[in-house]
Amino acid sequence: MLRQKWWKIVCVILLLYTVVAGFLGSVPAEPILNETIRNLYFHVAMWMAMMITLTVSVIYSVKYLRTNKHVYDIYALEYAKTGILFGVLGLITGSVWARWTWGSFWSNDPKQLGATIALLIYLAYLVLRNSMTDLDKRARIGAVYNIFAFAMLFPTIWIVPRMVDSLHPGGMGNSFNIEMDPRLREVFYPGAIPGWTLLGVWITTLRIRLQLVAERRHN
Amino acid sequence: MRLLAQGDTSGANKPVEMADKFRADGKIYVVVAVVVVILLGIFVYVARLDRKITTLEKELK
Repeated sequence: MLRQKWWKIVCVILLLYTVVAGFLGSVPAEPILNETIRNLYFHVAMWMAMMITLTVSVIYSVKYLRTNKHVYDIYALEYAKTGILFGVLGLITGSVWARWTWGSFWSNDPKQLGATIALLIYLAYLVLRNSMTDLDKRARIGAVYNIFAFAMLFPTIWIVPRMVDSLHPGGMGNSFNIEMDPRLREVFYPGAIPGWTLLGVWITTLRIRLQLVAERRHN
Repeated sequence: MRLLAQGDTSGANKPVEMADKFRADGKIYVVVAVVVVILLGIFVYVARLDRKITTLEKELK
């Protein structure tokens, strides 16, 4: 599966579609956002890709705890790293978008803060793992922490920001739901989300394979 | 480029400014071309890395 070509070709096609349709396609004209609404296919897609990638990671953590198979630990770690990368890219692209639409890179917006906290929790996962020299302990404790980190995504990013006043769509006092327009939907769902996610999977599987090769050479 | 749009939050009367001039000038195609080149560069890099790892895996079999 990791070595198969078909899903990689799909990834390339979907991302090229996302970019071309993303810039040339018709979009609703909204005040304040203007053309930046197209960032839906990039900034928002980063967060969706992060959620999917981190979900895969936690699933492998659970599988590791149930079977103690070393490969699952490698999978969990590498998918978490890619998830963190997507999250960081999401924060940076979001700040750039905010600079031109909300007036500044950082507004202490609840979702900005929540996402930052969620990412810090995942960074702590990496630090925690590296603090342990015993490899079994590292994998086991890492797996348990990964589950906690994953659970924390929900209150920090999805729940609290929607319950308070927020600049982000979905927050209180902000009913604008930019996903509803069909023109946006037809690039976002079939193109941007699977495209960026598959790219993340591709890069992750390369790192996993490299790690497995390195370990085989070691033995 | 304008920082914040007109403070008009009713959104009803004035048409929302979009990059129509950009499109009329054909400059949007420059944007698309640039991003496509970057994307293709990334894909070529990842594909080559993929092939190198495949070779390594076969060697170690």
